[in-house]
Amino acid sequence: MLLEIDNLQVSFSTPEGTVRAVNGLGFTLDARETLAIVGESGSGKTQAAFAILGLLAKNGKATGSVRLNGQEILNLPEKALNRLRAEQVAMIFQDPMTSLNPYMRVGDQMAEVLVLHRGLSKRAALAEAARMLDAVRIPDAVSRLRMYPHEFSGGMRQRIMIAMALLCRPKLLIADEPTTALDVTVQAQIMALLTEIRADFGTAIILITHDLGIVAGASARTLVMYGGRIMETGTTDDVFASPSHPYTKGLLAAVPRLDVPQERLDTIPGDPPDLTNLPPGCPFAPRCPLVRDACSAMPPLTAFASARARACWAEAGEAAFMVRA
Amino acid sequence: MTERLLDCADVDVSFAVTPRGAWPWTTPLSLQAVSKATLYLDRGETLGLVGESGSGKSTLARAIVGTVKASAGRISWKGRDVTHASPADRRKLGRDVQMVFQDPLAALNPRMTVGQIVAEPLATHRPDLPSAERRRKVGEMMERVGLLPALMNRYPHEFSGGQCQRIGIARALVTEPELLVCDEPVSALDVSVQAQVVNLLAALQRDMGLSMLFIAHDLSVVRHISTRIAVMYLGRIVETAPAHALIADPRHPYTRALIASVPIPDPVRERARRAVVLEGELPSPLNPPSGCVFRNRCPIARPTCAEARPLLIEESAGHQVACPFHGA
Repeated sequence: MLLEIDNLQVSFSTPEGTVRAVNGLGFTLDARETLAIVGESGSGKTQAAFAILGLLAKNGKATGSVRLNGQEILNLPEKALNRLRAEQVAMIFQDPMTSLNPYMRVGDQMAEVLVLHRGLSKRAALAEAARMLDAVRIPDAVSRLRMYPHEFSGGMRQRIMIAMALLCRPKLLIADEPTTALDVTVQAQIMALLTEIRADFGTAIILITHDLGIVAGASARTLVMYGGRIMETGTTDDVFASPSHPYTKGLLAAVPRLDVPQERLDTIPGDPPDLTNLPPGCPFAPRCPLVRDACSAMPPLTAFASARARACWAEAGEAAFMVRA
Repeated sequence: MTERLLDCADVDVSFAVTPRGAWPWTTPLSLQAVSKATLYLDRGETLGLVGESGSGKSTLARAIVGTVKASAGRISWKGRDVTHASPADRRKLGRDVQMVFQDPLAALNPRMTVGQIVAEPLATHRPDLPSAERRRKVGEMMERVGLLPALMNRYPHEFSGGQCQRIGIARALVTEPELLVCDEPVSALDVSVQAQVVNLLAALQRDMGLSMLFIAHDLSVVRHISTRIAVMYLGRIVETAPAHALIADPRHPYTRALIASVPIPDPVRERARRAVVLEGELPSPLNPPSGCVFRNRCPIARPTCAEARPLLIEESAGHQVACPFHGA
């Protein structure tokens, strides 16, 4: 077991009140495994990742337990976190331009990581950086080391971010919307690269995204979040073939598709939840076609089939017969 | 007989660009954002304009609306040349052509109430309207887009992204325009809300007999709402066809690659899909490849592609392709 998360709670104190971004998140991840966390804005998917890595904003607070290789890492002191972040867990972000230092040559920022964490000489670090750029299929890697981030295209920058994240061979890579800022043809390239990387480096990947199409191709397991809570988990095949939570069901039906003709898109009425003002109980209740009195209490995440769990008071079969919205 | 609303013939839009770090006296480079774009729009139809970032789709829309000047070519509105229309003529046209923008919150003035925002085009284009009548129209329009008229005195920040986009749509439609230009209207929205707005636009289009120019990078959304689709790459229209024909029988190698790159939300099909179909990225529009601009990424490029720009040729009814070699 590489990663074990139990009852993770993330909240922020703001002038408008306490924002409960993540509420009782728990899952496990094995080495080399891929897990997709799917959710819309405000689902808590990104803040959960930030909490794991100790990257929460100053007004944020995380409680619960996050264990990496059996060691508790939640709220570790900054120094221990810094070691952990480079050597065990790395993260890539949606916008590569804001994650790279615009004033440093790409080679220098990559070498810095290796000098600090692996004690390499600058020369050896640069050579390793070039090897890594090569591994993420950046042509002419040695001469690219001397270029600045702005001299690269969006897709190339994301490749550099991936190369940087892999420098210390982390066991776990968290990719937060890695292709959202990219064009669809470039997105296909980056997703293929992540798949190759996983095979070559044996890195476990947590893929955070709102795009169900990406999830379908890239991960073995899927976890669906809404309003800071887990709605449903299971293998990607099962979740897509027979979504069991009304939210998952609604989300899948709302995606316009190129491969099947659709007359009209099914919709989920209403808007994403306001995290400062979550309803008591299930956060999806105000938009749910199967809502009932019991929903004013949060349903527990309950296993209902092999490797599957859902948090819903309705019977597992009910969502399958949901009326069109 | 369908009425031709909009006709663009060989429209060019170029911008003068001074390269970063250049001396102030160097002559600026010319960036051709749109090159010889030819398209038309009939009454009641929705033309989808797809392309990746930098393809010139928004610039072309702006040239049609008149917020940027076409540097060559002809844009006509109901048979009348409006390429060089005076500002006063443009304003008259503004009543017929309205626009919906990508970022729903940024497109609304934060210091105006929703009622004022939706009423503003009426104040500009229908100053003769009595205020009671204006108020009635605003309330009616808000209801039409799924907002409670009682919220008229609220400010934009009190609304969600999806609701803000509904406000933007209400503002665009309150003057009862004939053409609605939507520039990435759902890209900033969550999937569940995106579907609501797409359905709303489709319903409004049908009920009000609107014509729409729908610009988006997401081919699945465009396919869903459009009658016809035009695909742009680096400022050029490379293929236009009826929506179903474009998806079922794409002919230009770029269109094919674009369709093949769209991930499918179905694990079995998605794993079977050959994912990477196109290497590299969009070249700089300051220095486009000679001849066919797609040739340096094209899987079927041949030496002659560098020589001349391929023309958009009508191959079957309504299906035009700018590639002479796609069938080979």
